[in-house]
Amino acid sequence: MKKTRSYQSFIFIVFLLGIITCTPKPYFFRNNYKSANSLLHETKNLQEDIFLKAHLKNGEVYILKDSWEVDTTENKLLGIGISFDYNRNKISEGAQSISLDSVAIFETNKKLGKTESKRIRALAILAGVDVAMGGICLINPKACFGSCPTFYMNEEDDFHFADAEGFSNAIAPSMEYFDIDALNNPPVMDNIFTLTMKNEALETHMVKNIKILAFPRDKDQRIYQSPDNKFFRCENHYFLTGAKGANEDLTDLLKLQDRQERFSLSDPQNLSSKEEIFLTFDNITDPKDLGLLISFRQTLMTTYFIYSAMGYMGDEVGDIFAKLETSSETKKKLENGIRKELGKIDIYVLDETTQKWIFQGGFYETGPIAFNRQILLLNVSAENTSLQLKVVLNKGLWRIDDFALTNIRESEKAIEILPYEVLNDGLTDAVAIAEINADDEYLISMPGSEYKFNFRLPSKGGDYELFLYSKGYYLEWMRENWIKDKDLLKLRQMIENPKRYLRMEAESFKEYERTMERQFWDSRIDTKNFSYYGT
Amino acid sequence: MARKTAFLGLVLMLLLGSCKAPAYLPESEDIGTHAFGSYITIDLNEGKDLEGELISIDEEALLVLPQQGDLKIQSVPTENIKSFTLMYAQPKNYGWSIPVSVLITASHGVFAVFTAPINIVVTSVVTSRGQKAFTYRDQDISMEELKMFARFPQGLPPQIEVVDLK
Repeated sequence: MKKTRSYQSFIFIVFLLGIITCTPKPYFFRNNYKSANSLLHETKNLQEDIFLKAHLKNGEVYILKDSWEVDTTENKLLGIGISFDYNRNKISEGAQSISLDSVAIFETNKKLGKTESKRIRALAILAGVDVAMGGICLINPKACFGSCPTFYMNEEDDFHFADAEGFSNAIAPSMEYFDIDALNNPPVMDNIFTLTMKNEALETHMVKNIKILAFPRDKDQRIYQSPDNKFFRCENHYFLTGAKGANEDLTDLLKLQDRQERFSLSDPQNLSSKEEIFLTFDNITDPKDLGLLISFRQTLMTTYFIYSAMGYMGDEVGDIFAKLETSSETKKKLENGIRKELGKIDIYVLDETTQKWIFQGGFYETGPIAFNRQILLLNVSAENTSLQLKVVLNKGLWRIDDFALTNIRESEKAIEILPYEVLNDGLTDAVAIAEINADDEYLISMPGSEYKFNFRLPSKGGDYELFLYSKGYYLEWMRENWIKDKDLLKLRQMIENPKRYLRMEAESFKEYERTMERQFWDSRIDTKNFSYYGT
Repeated sequence: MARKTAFLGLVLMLLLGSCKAPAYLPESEDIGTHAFGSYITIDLNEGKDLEGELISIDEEALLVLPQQGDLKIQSVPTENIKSFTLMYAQPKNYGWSIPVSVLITASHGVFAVFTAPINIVVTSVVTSRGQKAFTYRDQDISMEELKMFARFPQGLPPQIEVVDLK
């Protein structure tokens, strides 16, 4: 069952509610006494300030505020206060002298102390957390605001369960590209398939095309996508039998596609430091045409770089983006500089004969939100029933859910399906459907927008493996507080000398990583099982 | 999501803000010097529910002076009382904290997904508890103890005509 809040959030709420609800009711602030004798005996040890009311037999009342005393000789109650008639109209004010015989009931009242303290404390704690959170986002807006369009098979899901995120690298019109993401969908029960696209960030999303790539599949088959967007029909699933990092056994973390991810923190000296993970697969019953499966996504490191770059541009962001649009060289440097330095998730296979690691290829997808499920074709001997692999990756950049092997049976071509309907706020949007299906128009999605795309699959009753094709770009909204971060020299360093930039920026990123990474992912919900095939 | 959260916050604020206390009740720090009876809301077994200033209680009935409209003082047989709620001071209104706290989470970016519901839950409970801070229900207090909160805890003085009370 899907949890809607993290454990920590729940504990926090319980803690605050505990404070609030533990407020005792002030039951004992009022007492009545039928005689002066009992009044004197039962109030003499009280430390609190006591207000005394004398309710007379005729319905009048005397309220003595500051001091009072019982004169037993004169049989009178003396004090300073006010008297009222039975309709509570004021009769007199000042020094009062009341015959004890005329009093029906004496009433004492203690001052209610700190009745609101618990509630105020709870609100103060909440305000403190809110202000701290807002402060962190103000200092590090890179961490708090999402990126690129997010797609959901279940429209009620939030970004923690996004099924895909589109064109994360396309931060300018000239950087527009298409992106294909595996939806890892459950068996299709109907021929209508719905996908919801949300804009959950302070960005303008310019969406050129959305379509579904469908592949008919049998019960024991899956279709996987390679990093170069080829598709392969696969059978069998081999779980890894061992995984080791520098000083840790990662087998349990990396064995299952269960959202229990393996990640590391960045190197405090250099953000482009690499690390290695060693994988072992045993009992491969069919060693022919093996492919390595991986589920992965990024940490917030690249988001940090994108927002940092915009901060460095300051009030010249418009000019620089204009230059980006007209200079292919600058664009190329921006696209390849840091990205090249950070590298991919590189895969090597151990050649048993030469004992050398043979490079096989790498995985790369920008974006910290949706998991990417991809396959890499391995060039290995078709006789080995066990296999050893080495994974080389940038420290602090990747979150890996699992590794597995599968047998590739054949290459596949997709059935491309365009949406036949777009719903905007529950209503059919004829303009949107025309825009999204035209090659020269854009569907413009603003912050908070939600569009529901309906696709008609080729046949009812057949099952399909589905992938999302999205093409477009997005424009990040400049935040006022970024302008003060303007640093064109640093921007230049980032573009021209990313190696040096990644060393120099390590300390600043570490600060950010310590706070926001933990908060972002500690709040994730890890119980939703999205693997529908027992992998 | 943000729209739903803001809407929920607004609805909660309106609902909780609607629980207004009668103006004659004192602030909590002034309850010791307040000359009137507390405000009682009575749910009756038969007949229309009743609310007003608690005037007095005797063995058989409660006298209640309605605060609104032209209703005269009402005598309510104790056996006809299903339940009651007594308010003896002005509640503190924290309803403002619901929309304010929801608005604050706009600065939390994607984390608002978590902080907004937390803020709504906590501020709603604070507001709700604040509204009920100075009340007793029939489960909390006996009829004998309830007398202390009447205008005449000693009972209605015999020389006073009910019709003269206001």
